[in-house]
Amino acid sequence: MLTRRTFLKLGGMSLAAYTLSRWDGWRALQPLSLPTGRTIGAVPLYDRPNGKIIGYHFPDRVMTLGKARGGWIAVEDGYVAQAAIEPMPTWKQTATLPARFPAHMEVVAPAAIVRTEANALSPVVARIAHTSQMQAVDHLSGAHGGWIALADAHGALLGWSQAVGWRTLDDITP
Amino acid sequence: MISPRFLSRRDLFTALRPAARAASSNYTPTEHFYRELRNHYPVVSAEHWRLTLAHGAQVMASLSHEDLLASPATEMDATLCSYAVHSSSALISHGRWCGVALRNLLPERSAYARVMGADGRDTTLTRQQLENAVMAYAVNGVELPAHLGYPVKLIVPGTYDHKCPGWVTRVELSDTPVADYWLRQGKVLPDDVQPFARIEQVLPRSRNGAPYRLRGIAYAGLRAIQRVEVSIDDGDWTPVSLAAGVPGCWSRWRAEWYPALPGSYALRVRAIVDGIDQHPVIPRPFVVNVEAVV
Repeated sequence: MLTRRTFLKLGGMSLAAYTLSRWDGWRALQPLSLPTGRTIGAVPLYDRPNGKIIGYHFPDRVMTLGKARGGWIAVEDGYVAQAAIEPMPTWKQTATLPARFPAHMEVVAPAAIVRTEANALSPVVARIAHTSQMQAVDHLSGAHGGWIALADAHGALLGWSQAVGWRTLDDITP
Repeated sequence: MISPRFLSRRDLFTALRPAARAASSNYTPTEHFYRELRNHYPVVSAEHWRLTLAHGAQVMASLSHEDLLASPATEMDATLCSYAVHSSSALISHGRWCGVALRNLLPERSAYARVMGADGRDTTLTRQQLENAVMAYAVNGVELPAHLGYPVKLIVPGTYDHKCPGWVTRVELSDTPVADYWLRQGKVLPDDVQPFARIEQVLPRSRNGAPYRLRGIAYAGLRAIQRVEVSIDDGDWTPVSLAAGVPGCWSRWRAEWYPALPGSYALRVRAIVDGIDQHPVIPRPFVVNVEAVV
């Protein structure tokens, strides 16, 4: 049987939970996101600055960056040369496609792979670095946003890239 | 004494199982061992089996199965693979072989030795190959199965399987090389294993933020593999962690991979020996579909 005392307890807790869930101040209490960066090429991982190599990171690995000192930067599992890391913002791993094509698009992933066909097994034409911009001329729907067709400066088809690594630049769409 | 036995469909299926089944152990389970696909193989009775040792036509000794088992035994880890392993995925196995060193069975030395099997195939060993060869009667702690060459299979480390005949019945010393079975068939097959590496498993992440774990093997026969490298989507070749190698045995490699975004990736691997990539054929990529990156 629900006593008056128990009823007041439950009611108070429910009210407090509802109030706190709608309080915007929670966002201010969350820690700032840590800086991230991507590896440029195959990057040796050291046990300490100027120490011995304990492994390698694959190219375009996104990792949380620690303190930088003397040309070295601390990462999750050791140290890497600071010159081998390019800082980059975190991004939403979803494709943002333009309403119409052609359109200008920017690489938001660590790198975008351009292939001869819209197929992961087709030969690689180019590897485009983070923040590079290109003109997309067509789109094929599929998993993870499908594929976009990229054109070179003369409008000729360069190849296809998975749309998930790109975002549209609506403001300069021709 | 010798009668053909036909392989069942299940046998054929077993032969096609990838070596990855044995990833938990360095040894391939005997039931999953690579074997050549053939319509039949000899079934030899140990009771009547004899191993004849000869120099040319002159017989030097004839050993029974019991004689062989009574000889000083030796154990050896060795990888067995087909010369077609570079273009097919399953034609390689690794086992612990028990038998008698061939050099200890021979009363004299010669430049070449021709080893013949009850299936009509034979091979010619050089003196150096003969020094390392073992007449194996057990693998992975069990008696050699009939389909692998019971009662005795020749194991020559660092060579392809066609240099390791099974159901061995005769060893013949000679001073000149003799054309072996495959050469008489018009096929010139390589003796020494060409270096190669392979991706065997891509284990999905166990939790959010964890890496994909890449697992594979690399093998270079009697040569030492300097390093194994992986390329993702034709990117830079990145060295991966390679277990210390033993000549004549495959080495396992592993790597951790954090895909940057969901989608399809084409992974390639290569083995570096003597400073260069020596794969005889360009390996097909291992395609991984990453559903989500968290």
